[in-house]
Amino acid sequence: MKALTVARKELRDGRRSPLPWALAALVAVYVVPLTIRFPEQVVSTVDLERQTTIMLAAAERPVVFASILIGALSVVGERESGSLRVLLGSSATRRDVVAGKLLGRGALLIGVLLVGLTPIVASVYVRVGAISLPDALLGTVLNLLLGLAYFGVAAEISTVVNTRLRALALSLGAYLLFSEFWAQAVVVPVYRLVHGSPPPGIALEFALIPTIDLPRVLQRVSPNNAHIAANYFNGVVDWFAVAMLVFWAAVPVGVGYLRFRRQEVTA
Amino acid sequence: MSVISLRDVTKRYGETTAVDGLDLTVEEGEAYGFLGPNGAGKSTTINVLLGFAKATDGSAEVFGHDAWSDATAVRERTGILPEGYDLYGRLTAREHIELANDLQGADDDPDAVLERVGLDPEDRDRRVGGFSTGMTQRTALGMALVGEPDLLVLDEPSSGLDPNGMAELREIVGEELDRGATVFFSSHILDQVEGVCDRVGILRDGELIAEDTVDGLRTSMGAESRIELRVDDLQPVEFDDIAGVTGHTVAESTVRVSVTDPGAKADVIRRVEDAGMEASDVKIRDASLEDLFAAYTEREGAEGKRPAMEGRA
Repeated sequence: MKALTVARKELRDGRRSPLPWALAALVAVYVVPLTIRFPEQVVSTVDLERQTTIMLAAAERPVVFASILIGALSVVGERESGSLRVLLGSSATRRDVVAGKLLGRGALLIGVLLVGLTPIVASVYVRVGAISLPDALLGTVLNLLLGLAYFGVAAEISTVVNTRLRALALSLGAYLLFSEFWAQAVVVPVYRLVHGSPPPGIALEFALIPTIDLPRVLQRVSPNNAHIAANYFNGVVDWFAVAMLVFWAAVPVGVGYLRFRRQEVTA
Repeated sequence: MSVISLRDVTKRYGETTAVDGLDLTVEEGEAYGFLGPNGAGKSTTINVLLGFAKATDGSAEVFGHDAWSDATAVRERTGILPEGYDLYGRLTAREHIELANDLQGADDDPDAVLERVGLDPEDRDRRVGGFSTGMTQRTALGMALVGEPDLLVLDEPSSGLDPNGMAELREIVGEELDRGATVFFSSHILDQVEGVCDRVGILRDGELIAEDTVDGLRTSMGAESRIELRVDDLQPVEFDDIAGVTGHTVAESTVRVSVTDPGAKADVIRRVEDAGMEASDVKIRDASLEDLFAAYTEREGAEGKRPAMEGRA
């Protein structure tokens, strides 16, 4: 119950902040022009379902950015300002505080993304002249899952570091690792360890070939790749990719709580 | 029954020892003044008491609960005004009291709480981000008072309070003591605990260098109080046989007497009256805790060692 109190506080505080509104605007402003100017050859050569999926997947970068900002500032923001001492000075447990903050901020993030994604769905309709509602729904849910995955990673970092700057830097570093260096930093070394040789180039094309083998599984551990994979298997839900998004949304937060439980909270 | 019990508590941060072998007991219903200059280790001790930090060595118990492993049980019965805190700038003062109500499982009237801490009605629905330091401090004090805690821990509560605010704070502390609460009052401004606290401890460099009642500290330090009596008809009078009197002067219509024992003050006044003089005005200037603290630390410096703990309970 105290977690819900903390979550309500978080939502009330967040709603009055300009940051969530700015982030919702960022998501929309980043993607809507892309959608409106989407290349004609793509629009004319794929079916409506595919058009809807591709255009909503274009929101990946601002969705991740908004999620990192909201997650990375969650606990360390209060630690740095000192308000964490007021919360933890009450009879709320550390679990209440972490759960409440994540519930509140997670709900805030979902609100931000829904507000930001709605104009994108509208712009797809304007661009194509129609929209596949099931795919628009799937694309929105996958964007939310991607956002929650990065929120989980950033919130975990936020519970264990001492400054906002460090939380943001580490969270953005995680994004770079997942989005730019995952194949070279993780997939190739692990493949080499298991098979004794680097994977063939085609094995890294994880999203297009629905084969379950080591490189493709490893690729989809990255939330960015999982998001793409889940979107690209049109008509067939890639449950492994979805499971990886849920994994990143939940597991880091649990790890963060276990570390936060034993941390000292000094001024 | 002891509310706070620290036994040989040491807290180290790397090579730095913030608190060193601290023994301290605060009894139920007592007001304890925890004194010392900035950096003496007061806030570290409070962090240990409240479960914000874990003692490196020793045992810290509050209400019989381990302060670190059972911190929630401690804080269920404790109201805290921590040092180095911040409030939520986008929430109003009233919303802060409501938040404290929900977190402590209390149902206090926010208006009554904010009235008690002296926050004006027109400020109660304002966001605290626009508050002065004093108004923020009043709001935080209100949060600490929610739910009638059994223990009130006030860490530098006078920060940002003007003299009026300080007087109100003393009044509130008095009311809390009257209803049976225990108060742990930390300050580096020594005069502020005088008149509020039953007992004081002086912390320096992480060690408790003195602990006693305020009067006891004065006596143990030999700190003098001065009594000044304005009389109508000057008569010969002697005070040398009164224990604790260190000297006196008589000039024009004023008798000035110095005493080291607070109990001697009443005997001095009685002696003047017995000599046939009528005192039209009596002024007593006690040595302030500032004087005492300076005397204590100066004596320590002069002797090059820790002073004898004559007054220690």
